[in-house]
Amino acid sequence: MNQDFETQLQVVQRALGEVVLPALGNADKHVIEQLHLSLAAIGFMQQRLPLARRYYRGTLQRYLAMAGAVATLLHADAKGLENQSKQSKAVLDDPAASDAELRAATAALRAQIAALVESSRDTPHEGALDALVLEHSEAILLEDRSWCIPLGFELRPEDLPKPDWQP
Amino acid sequence: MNDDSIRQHPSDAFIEEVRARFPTEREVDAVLTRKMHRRNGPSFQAVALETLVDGTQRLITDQLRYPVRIADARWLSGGASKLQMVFNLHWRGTESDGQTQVVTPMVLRMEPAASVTESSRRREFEVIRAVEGTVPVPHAYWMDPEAQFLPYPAMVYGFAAGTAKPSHDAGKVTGLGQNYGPELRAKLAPQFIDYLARIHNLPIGAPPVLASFDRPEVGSNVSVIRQVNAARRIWEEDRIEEEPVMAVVYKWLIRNAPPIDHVSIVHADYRSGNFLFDEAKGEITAWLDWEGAVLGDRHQDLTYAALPIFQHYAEDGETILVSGMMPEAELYAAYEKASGLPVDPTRIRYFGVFNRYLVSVLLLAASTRAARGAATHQDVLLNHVAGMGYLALSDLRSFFRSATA
Repeated sequence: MNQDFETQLQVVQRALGEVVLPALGNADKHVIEQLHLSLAAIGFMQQRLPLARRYYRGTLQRYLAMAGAVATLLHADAKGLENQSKQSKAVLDDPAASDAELRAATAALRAQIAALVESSRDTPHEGALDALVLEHSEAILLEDRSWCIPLGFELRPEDLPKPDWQP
Repeated sequence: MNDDSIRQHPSDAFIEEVRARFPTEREVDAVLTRKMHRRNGPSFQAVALETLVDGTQRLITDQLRYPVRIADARWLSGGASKLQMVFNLHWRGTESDGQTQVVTPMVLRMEPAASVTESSRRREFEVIRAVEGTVPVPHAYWMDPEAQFLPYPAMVYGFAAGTAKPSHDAGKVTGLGQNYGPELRAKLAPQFIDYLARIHNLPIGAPPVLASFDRPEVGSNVSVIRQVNAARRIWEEDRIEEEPVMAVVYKWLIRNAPPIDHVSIVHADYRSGNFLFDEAKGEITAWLDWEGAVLGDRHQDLTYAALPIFQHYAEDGETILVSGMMPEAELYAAYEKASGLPVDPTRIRYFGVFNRYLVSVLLLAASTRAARGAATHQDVLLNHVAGMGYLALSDLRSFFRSATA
């Protein structure tokens, strides 16, 4: 069989786009639209599946860097985040870690950092913490935007920096 | 239970805790609470056209106290949130002698189990009634706000003629980045401004007009904070994962909420794609999607219309046109002139942040959650627009930084 998922997606895409879609000539507009969007979702997967692991790992690395900077700023107030960072780093270093585990390790860091941002209200380090989060988020969000380029929402995708996960 | 499961299968305690943490308007609270309880109920089932015909017929018959007939029912496409059916109503009309049968094209608008914008049919009905005669809107006939006759809350309004997309650029989803082209743009842009000015200058009548809307007080920022909390609450209820940037911005929005200087009806989704027009004449024929309307600050509509997700480049490849109409600065200047209401740069900044925060919530939380929970009739569309979430969040981060520098 064709073991690569890209081929599995490709055959579905061709069947839907070249056989099913032309046969729906007089169908309701929303039916045609949903088929186009389904094709777009399949096209997205086709392009991104081979890169997914690199993207997940890169995102986790960037959040570990953010978490490290937050922990340095907050010292003793960030014990929970330090513990989470150790766990997330272990996932990153584990070659057997699944994609879902990589994403969960990232999500846990994001949740801890957001909670610290919230609890820092009216504390002396609030301004510095907020600034640090905004600074570290810039590169992460640019990479996330690059990830979504196949969906077609970027006005000028060529202006985005080349992401780390792109070969 | 992980973070996601807590939200996908919320306990009563979770629902009540979130309600208490983020107090908002009465009707908004009711709608959001219903959404959370519904999440634990049966999953969304595709609704047959016949079910809608039957429910609509019973609703109208109940309201009119005589039997009516629905014919030519068919699905109506467009929009990312509600399920719509167009039909011809055979009835006695509003001005007939009681004997003559008239045929009126109408639209049933019903919410699915979840939506990109969870909203109140009661409020939508009330606000359309309030602005009718001031701006072109389809007449709101009847509503079923508690789903007594239909599977979910719904309303019936008149069918408005026109198109939402120009024939040369009809492929845009829900009008995002809609390009009307130079000729049509020149005709539509002045109307776009004029109608916004009219809406914002419309006097707010006393209840029962707009009875489901809490009244803001001039000089107070309480109503603005309620709105921020509504968005924050949706974030808490729907998000798939946390975003530290959102936590930073929320604190600022609460601290810097400006007092209201003039209470306006705020459409809250005023942009390209949300009006119908006659392509041959270049005339706007109807303003749609009033479901998110609030009583509040006009700057909310102004900055919403100018959001990057509704922009595109003009033919010169340099000029950015907001809502496919004109550059942002020109929009504000033209609005001031048309409305006689001042455009305050501080409030423009504030609501620029607020709208970006709200859009990030709707894309990264509400849309994503609804598609994930298989809760709508067009999960594939909500899943698609959710892909704009990082673009919205990236824009929020950049705009917030420049606005607070």
